[in-house]
Amino acid sequence: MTLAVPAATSRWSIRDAVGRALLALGEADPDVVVLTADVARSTRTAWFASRFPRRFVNIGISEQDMVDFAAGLALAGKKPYAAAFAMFMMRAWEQIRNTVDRMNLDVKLIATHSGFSDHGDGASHQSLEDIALMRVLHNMTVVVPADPPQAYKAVLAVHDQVRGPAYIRIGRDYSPVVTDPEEEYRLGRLEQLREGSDLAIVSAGPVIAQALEAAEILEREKGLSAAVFNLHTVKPLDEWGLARVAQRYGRIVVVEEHFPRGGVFGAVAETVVRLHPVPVYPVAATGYGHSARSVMDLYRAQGLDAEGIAVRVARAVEG
Amino acid sequence: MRRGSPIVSTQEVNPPIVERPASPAGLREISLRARDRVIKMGLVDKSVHVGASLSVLDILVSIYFGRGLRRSGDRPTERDWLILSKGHAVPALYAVLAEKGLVAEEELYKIRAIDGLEGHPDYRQGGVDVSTGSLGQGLSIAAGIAYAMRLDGVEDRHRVYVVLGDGELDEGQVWEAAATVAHLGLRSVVAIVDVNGFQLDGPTEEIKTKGDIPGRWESLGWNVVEVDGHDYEMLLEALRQADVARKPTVIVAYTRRGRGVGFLEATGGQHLDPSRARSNE
Repeated sequence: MTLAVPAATSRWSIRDAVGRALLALGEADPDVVVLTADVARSTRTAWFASRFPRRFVNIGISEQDMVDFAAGLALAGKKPYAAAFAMFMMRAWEQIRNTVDRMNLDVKLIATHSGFSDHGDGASHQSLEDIALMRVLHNMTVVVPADPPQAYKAVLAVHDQVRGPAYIRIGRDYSPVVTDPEEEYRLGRLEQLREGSDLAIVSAGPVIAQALEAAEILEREKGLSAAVFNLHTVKPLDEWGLARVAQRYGRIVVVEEHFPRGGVFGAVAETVVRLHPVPVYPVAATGYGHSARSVMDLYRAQGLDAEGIAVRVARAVEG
Repeated sequence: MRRGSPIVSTQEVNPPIVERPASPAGLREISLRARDRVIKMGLVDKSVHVGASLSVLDILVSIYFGRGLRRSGDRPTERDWLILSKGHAVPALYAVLAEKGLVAEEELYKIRAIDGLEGHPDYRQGGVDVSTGSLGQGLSIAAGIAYAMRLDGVEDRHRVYVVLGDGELDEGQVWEAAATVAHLGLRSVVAIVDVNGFQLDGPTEEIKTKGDIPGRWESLGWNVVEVDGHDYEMLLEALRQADVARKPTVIVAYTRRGRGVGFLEATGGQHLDPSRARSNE
């Protein structure tokens, strides 16, 4: 299945892009069924619901039930997409592990509002552990797209190429375009977004826009030339791509909207230590978040804005 | 046991079963043989949940041999499904599958051995539709299958049986799913609750209040049928009602844990102690 990527993706938010991608899948594949847990409007699955009402079920505020309902659909030959806030998808971790992942079912989990993207709702709604929880699962594919065009393409690519469970982690609104919308999406491949010579920054998700800006600051103010890589597929990881980065740059800083344990930092460190050991430093969430009027206020409070990242990267690599 | 590649089409491992349904007398004979197998499994591995297997056994026999599980086409929705949500009672399922010829007799007694049958249902085993073992999940899975049947236009042709325990009703997810099934009016779902009065740590009412079990389902909009879970006439009649019901049916089956083994039935015991079993022979 090849579906054209609409030119407008660059103007959408990341959740809008995924909502549109589900619509496109609904048109192309009659087996696609979409579920949500009373967050149809927030997850943009309401668009699918109004176009394909029979193939949409709002399960109510019951994520565990939703995940196993999806498992039943997959067992019976359908291709379910279950959408909820990343934070509350974690509530169904045991259902994901014991039913979906253990039977390697074709269930796709769309986790929205991840990281600090749900700034206004505060710490109870901000997921800082989900990448860790999902990537430890044996069969699960974990994709963290960087921006709206990549999110749109990633959903289509996962639908086409992944037979088994996948976790697609997206944010809410904040998602500047950092990738080339024209470029083909390559699932599982480490993607370079900026050239550099002194160190490598590896990041995933919309916070990567801040990492790119931090690289400019480092160049300007510290004379440090940082290459920036987009690890949009956290599992399965592009191990040799990462090993080459370790070899070439000799030090890696991981920037992520997640706690510094088990997430992207964990994935990178586990791989590098095995294939080409070099120092790897985390620049991640420093604690639970807080309500904020904008995601930038939270990034600043957590040292994940461009300035904060630049300071933390310099401190890490300069000792 | 199938190994290796996942995403097994359940048709591959579950060949179509076409048989004339057995009479209640025939079912009793089958159940005697199956009980014998369960007890032997309990003797070869002391951790096997014999009590819960014996309480649910007549329910499984009546579904497999009384009503029968049918197939009408090649799609995964064109068949009846059975989910043993109270997965710890899997020896009863194996004993029934052995009667069907889907599990070899000698395999039964390798239960829980490293090269033998899994201690909870695993879908790689022929005849087992869905992997379970973690309580509370079967009804949600059944709802998803039933919804797929609706999408494929076969929901009046087939049934999804899901067998739960009364202890399992402690799991909140059961009630999430009970509401979903009722809300969507998924009439192809047939839940059977094996009310044997015990859970792992003791009598159900001592561990956690279960309330009015039939009433809880009824209030959500289920068609509720109460039966003696060891009476084949009643079980078959309830299954017949579920086949034509216009709303989802729950069969509340009152049973005895350890049914058929005197000292287990008397105490609500779960595991067989070999010395004790011998003295009861």
